[in-house]
Amino acid sequence: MTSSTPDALWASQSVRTLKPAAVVCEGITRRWRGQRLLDDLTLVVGVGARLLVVSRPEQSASMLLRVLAGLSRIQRGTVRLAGVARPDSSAAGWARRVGYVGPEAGIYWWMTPREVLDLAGRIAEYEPKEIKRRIEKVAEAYGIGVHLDQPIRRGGEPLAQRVALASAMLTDPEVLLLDEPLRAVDAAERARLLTIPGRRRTVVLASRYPASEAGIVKQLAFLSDGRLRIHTPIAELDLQGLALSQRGIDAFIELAAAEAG
Amino acid sequence: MRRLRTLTRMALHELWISFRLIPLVGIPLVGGMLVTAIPPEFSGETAVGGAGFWYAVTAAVTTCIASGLAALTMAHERRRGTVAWMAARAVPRASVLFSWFLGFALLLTLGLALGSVGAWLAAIARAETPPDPIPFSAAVAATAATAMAAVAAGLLIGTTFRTVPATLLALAVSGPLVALAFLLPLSVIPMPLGGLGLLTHLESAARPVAGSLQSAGAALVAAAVLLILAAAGLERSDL
Repeated sequence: MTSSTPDALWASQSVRTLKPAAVVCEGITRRWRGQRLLDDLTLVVGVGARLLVVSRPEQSASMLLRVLAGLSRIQRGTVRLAGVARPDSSAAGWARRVGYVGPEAGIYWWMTPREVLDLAGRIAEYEPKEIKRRIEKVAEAYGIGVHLDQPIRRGGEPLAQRVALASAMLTDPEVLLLDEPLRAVDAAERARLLTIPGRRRTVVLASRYPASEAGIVKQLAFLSDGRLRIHTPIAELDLQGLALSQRGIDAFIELAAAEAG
Repeated sequence: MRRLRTLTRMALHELWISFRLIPLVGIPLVGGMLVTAIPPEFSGETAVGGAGFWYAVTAAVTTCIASGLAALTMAHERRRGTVAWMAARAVPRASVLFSWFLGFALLLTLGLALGSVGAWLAAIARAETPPDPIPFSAAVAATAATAMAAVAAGLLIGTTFRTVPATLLALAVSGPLVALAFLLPLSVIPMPLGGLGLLTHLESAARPVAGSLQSAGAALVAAAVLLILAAAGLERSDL
């Protein structure tokens, strides 16, 4: 269940019929060090999707997520997430509805996981009781319960990355953006943690290693030179007998091009 | 407001954990106490003037280091993703910047105030008649405002450059600027540096209190302008 969208709205026939979009990018362009990482990119991601974004050059996917998270600027185009055009500082707005986890945990290692989670809760302006309840919930879900009151430094990078994900999930966001997350966590545990619950939650994951995301995602978007080349269900790759890997994606593009030609 | 308080507390904690708090408070404190140890032949024509000059040296060193540390801090915070962690939660980037400014300003004010007590005690011990503390206190307050402007300049540099270049640039900019307070006559010292200038030339200052108030005002305005520029720079930068 999302934190800010009423159940009644989701239960309505119109929402089921319209299939609303959680992420809408229209004509976004971004150059970085002379390279066009995003070039007039238009991408629409429906509510509840689990989308893997892979790109060539590799920085494009990461840049897209950073743009979506409001961390990087675009030179042209518009972006809307969960119906919000840009980060606002209202409690019920961006802070609760959009979560972002980057390759760097971005938290102080002297803090304990409880302090980080408490800070995330206070930024989202929850009541202390509610913060406590949410901390207990995410600590259990992300296996940080035993480390909750120890400095993150003791658990190192794997714990820092778990805490970063837990702090993003604390607000039960409608849209979760994951940019190369949990790389320091072992593969099986990573796959478990990244199997994000919530039918209405939209997850967009940028990865340089698509093979490691098998089973976590249901859709694939491939960007080439900043443009969207394919946006397809993973099932389409399965139908062609192709694995979710860079080689499989290349083969799928070739097949799609041959069919179109 | 509650959010800013939380962020400032975190900034102070980070300064404490990373030992950056030590030079900000320690240098002026130790420098102020060492004024007593200055030999009489170097302690100036008047007790207050001598104490003011030597404390100005300490304050100038503190100001340069504070500027360098502010640049290092902001560049480091950007690089390691802590600003991004905040920004992804819709915390305004300007709030993060301002919380760091407040953290530095609080520590500098505390350090300079404590150090000035040591310098003043040295002046009292050497003076034949009890000196008036107000001109000295006013000059120290104006010096603290100058230090705040230097911190704002450091933060501005830190929003643009990487860690090492930002630190070196901040030191390279603030060093020559604070040196002007010692090299130029009081009447031509740029207004935001007036506090340091008045401490340096306390013996010859005609209207030290009025001059301190003017220079403190100018330094705070300079700090505000630099902070606005830094906020604009941080707003435009990739995190």
